[in-house]
Amino acid sequence: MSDWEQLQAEWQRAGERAAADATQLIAKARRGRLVHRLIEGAVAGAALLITAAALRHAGNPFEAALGLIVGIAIAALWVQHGRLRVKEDGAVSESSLMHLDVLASVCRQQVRLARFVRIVLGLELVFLTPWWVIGSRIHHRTLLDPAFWLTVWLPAAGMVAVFVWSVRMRRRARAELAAVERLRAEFEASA
Amino acid sequence: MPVPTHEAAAAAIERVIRDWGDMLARVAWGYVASASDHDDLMQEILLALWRALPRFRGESSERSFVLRVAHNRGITFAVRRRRFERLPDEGGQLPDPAPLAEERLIDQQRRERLFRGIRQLPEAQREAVMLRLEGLSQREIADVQGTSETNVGVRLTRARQALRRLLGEEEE
Repeated sequence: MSDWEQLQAEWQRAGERAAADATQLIAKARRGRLVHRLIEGAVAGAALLITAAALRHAGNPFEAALGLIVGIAIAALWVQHGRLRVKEDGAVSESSLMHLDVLASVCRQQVRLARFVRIVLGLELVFLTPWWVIGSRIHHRTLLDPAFWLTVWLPAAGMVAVFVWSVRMRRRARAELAAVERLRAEFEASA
Repeated sequence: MPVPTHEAAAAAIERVIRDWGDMLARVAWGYVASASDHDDLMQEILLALWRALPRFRGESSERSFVLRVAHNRGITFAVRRRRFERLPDEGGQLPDPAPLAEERLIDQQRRERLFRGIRQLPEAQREAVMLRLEGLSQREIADVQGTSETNVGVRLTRARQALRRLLGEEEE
């Protein structure tokens, strides 16, 4: 019996039934993915709603244009994030080398996406600050008013959360890119 | 009347699990060491297959397609969780696993050693070895890896040498 045959016999004996509840595993994974997407959609939707609410009170054409740009940028971020996920999913049935190429490309785009998120957050801050300051004065709101919470603290907390998410995404994408490039070099190495 | 896509996908995945479930479980053990990671990876592989199977057009055998998806998910999982183990220094051997009292578990210990040895191979060799052990030809392995048959041959030779060293050549 050759080396390979011995190893193969050993390997084949290691077969164990894939989880009998595989269908449930898939259903669980799909539910998890759905919840994840719903959360992402809710965050993007809330950001767009806040921007739209502020846009209605834009004081001049410059503010209105800025608000529109911010709204479009938020929508673009959401779409691009989804496209990256679709791109990665689509590559799973490609050859290992092609799959690694796509993974590397997705990581690079995530790094750029994280940078774009910060730019959008900066613009959003510039756009919302006058609305927050002037709106609070006009409506005589204190820092603890429910309306103040809804229009200022909540969006601000959301922006901080998105900023933290972008930092983590960038860090993770860079680490993954380094690992993927090492693997690509290994797969590309010719005999 | 055409079958709704989700029903077709459900039927296809059930058949794949029936036909290739053991193979998928083995592939997953080639990338992770703990049972909880194994469950997580199996979940990701099954979900990826559920989504990918409707795109299968028969360009390769179904087994090759399933293995390709499983290995790609395994690689992604290992990258995400930073689970790539390092090859020990030249001359190093795997330590014996913790002794188990029951004799009937000796086989299990040997298989665990094999899995651990495979997990320590460089990724391209690891994938080639696992595909070879599943019975794929060098041509099929080259297709899955996106490389030439010559490269596959070299990877398999190096992997066999490394495995022989890692497993301590018990037979000789």
